[in-house]
Amino acid sequence: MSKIRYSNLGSEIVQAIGDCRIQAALFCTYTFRRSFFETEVLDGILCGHGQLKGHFLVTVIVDGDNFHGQGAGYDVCKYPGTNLWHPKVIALMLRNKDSKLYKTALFIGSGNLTPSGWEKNLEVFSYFEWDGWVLPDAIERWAFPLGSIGSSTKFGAWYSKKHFGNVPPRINDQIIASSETASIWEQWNWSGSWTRAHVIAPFTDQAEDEANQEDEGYFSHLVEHSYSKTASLNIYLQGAPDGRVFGSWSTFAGLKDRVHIKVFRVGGENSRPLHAKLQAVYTEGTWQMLGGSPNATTAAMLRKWTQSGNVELAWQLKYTSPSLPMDFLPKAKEVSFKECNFIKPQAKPRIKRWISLESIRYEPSAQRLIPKWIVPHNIEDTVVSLAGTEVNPAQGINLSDPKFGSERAVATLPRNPIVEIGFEADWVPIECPFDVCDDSTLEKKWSFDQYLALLSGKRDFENTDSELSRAQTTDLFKSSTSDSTFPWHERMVALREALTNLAAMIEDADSELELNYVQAILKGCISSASDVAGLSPTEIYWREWSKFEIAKFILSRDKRKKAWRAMIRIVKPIKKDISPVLRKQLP
Amino acid sequence: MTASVRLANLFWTTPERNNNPPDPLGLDAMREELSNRLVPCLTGRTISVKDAFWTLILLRWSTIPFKNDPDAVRNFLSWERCLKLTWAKFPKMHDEKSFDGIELSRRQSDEEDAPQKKPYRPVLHNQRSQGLLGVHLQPFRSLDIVERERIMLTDSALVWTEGANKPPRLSNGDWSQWRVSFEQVCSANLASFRRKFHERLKLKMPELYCAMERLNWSEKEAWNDAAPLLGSYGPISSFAHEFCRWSHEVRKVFNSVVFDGKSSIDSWPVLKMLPPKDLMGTRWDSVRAFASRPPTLRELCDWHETEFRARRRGESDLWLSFSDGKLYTHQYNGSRSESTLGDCRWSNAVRMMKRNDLL
Repeated sequence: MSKIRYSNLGSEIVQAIGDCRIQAALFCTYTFRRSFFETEVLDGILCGHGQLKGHFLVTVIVDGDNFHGQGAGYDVCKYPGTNLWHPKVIALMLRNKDSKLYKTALFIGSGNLTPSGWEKNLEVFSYFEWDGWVLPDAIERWAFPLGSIGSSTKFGAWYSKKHFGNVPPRINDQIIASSETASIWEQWNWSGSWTRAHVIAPFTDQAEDEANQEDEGYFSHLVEHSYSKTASLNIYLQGAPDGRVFGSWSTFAGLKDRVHIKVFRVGGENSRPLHAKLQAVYTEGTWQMLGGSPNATTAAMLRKWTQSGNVELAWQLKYTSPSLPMDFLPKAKEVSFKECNFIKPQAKPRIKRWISLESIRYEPSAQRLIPKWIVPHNIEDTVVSLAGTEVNPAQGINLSDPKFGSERAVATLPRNPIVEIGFEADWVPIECPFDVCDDSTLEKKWSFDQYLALLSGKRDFENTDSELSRAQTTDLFKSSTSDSTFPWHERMVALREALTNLAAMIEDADSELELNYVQAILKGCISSASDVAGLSPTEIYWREWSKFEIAKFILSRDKRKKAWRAMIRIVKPIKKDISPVLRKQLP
Repeated sequence: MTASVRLANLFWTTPERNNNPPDPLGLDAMREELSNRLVPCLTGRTISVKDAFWTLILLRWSTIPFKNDPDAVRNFLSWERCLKLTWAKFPKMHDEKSFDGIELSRRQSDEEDAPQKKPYRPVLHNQRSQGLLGVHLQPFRSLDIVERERIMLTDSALVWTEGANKPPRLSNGDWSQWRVSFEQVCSANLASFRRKFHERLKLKMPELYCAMERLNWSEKEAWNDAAPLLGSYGPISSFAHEFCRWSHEVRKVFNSVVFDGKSSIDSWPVLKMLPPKDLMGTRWDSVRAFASRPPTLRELCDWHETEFRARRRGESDLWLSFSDGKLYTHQYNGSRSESTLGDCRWSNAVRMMKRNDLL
């Protein structure tokens, strides 16, 4: 008998990556936790497998109400629409250079990009993979026409140039459905009437993260398609710690006379909160299953997004058997409908935001933020703040100023205090050129050793907690230094390691963007090596020696290759700074 | 590769199996700080001499052909995967019931054409730090088995592993050959490694070794008894004994509030010794504040929140929270399990350092 597995999402992703390297990644989520994403997902899972942070292109698309700034090294884009951005997608573009394997790994599920979505909640995901670098039509259609999500993003820019291959037709046409062109219900591909149905519904109509409802609701619609009164409908609701269940009595009371209804309580006090969205109806000898992001609500299932429905992404599957696969349903306790105490979901109103900027772009040469205002807004009626400090975009702003930290988004609020009531800040990501917004925050004056660490792929981990994993990641390359002696040998080892890694990065850079990134690090490295003010004579000599080593390493490379030519151009001017004795040894 | 849409592609999510022990009040972290002073050459995760042996052997096979660190590490991880796949297939080959990465190793070893030496697929999240290398690298560096500035065996470690000079050639699809290859290496070299490793630990932590020997390698934590034998570490050792007991009790009280719904703190353990002055930081301030008096529920909540905030955890991670004068418990965020680090590495030290007379 078939069985649904229980597995960790991170482990599944690790398996999907295998021995490939990630070229680009796209995440879609309703809620987003930045610190979790940076430490656990980006560092712990994606970069933990032979990747360097910032070395592949990552874009996260998040719902507007849940966007609170972004970090360096990846994009976070706010869905620009006023409806709910609800899909949960992880798309990885993978490549194995040795076996010439190019593949797309796609996870569609119910978990957001938060610790709860990945570790705590009970979620369901489905995994797909195919040859080539190509997204299903349903996702491709979002990724590009949606204003700011277009090709200005890291993933978008990469994808528009690099994508190739075809998604298997069955996946495109029959498996993956988005609520863009039609409602999810209309695309759920079955006919006839159902005799048995199971609906796993953490949120039902009027639920917490859904828009308010005007019509009868999704369950009523579902029941209309039942075979007769003898049809059985099992509803799995999220249990609350006090023994009640999340749901609306009025939603289900009207169904009692139309089908045989049973309510099950999932989780509660000591269990993981239910957040999976899963439905199965039995019709004509086949179970028709549907999962992904849509809850059992009108806004998610019955409306397309142009009809004020949510943006949703679902997968569907047919299973020909009288019984469901083992473990398809979560462990649950039946609750008598009469005795069932409901916690009525509260409709969460959309937050009112002061939306006055269409976009804002950083121009590093002029150190300016270039705003694109929504007519008739301007600086007179809007406060633009960056990391809590009010800024005037027209005046000089250096993003590498420590007071801005790694924040790469501005908040806009009304200037007039009377209008201010009831508005929350609208967050607008700053569009940066690649080398500015990237991980290295290359506008910063990093120290020479920090640049070397970046080239070597040694990342600084926060080590404020007791978790051993982080401490040991740091320890892996930790080296001892003595205060009394200059660690020349150790530094040489680190430098050579960095150069070996630099070579790998240059060889692997197969887009202009990646090449720009590597160039920017190299430039930063050379420039900080030249900054010798106030240093000890040994340190100055070490830096000169480093410049010589870098120059020797780069200049001895094959000039016929475009990538190396670009590096040689950067290195050539420093020849004159190197002492004549060493210069003689350069190629 | 063909695209497939099967039930096998569908899965319910589970939390990561090898999650580090949750530490709601920072007690584990404080015990780690004490352990780093008392048993500096081991870590809380160094628990098996056999694992240490395999780490050393795999390091030899990886670092001799690959002189630079990234390549050596990559090669090491590939060898580790092969070894763990074999352990998953033949569980008796490993002394413990489980090992880090058992779940993915089992899955890979159950594949139709297994075992395949290539391609490399990780058996752990971030295998580099969570696997054998991450566990043993720091202790090996402290014990002068691996060089400090790069991943390379020291001359003495090269001599130790001379018997395993040639890595076995593993054939794809042949489990028995994989098993025999690893077993041969183990039977030929493990005993000698044990002796030498034991000597090295004794050399690097002589006072601790003598103290433990005098205490007949007591399996039960005995830092208090060891204190007079540990010279300048005596005060820390006595305090560690007291703190181990106290922190266990505090954790129990915390658990009773979170998991048993206790609405007041009835009994609170007394810490008979205050932390030595050189133990500094916010965590130790909390210990000093509540050494002899129980915190109120609000204070307990604050302690927990301060700890989580310092570890960059958000509000949704809290086990306990206080709002509008009311206490809320979030049991699904936590677990009752008590930490394995509870004896300030006493048991690790005994396991790794105790002389095995059979050798």
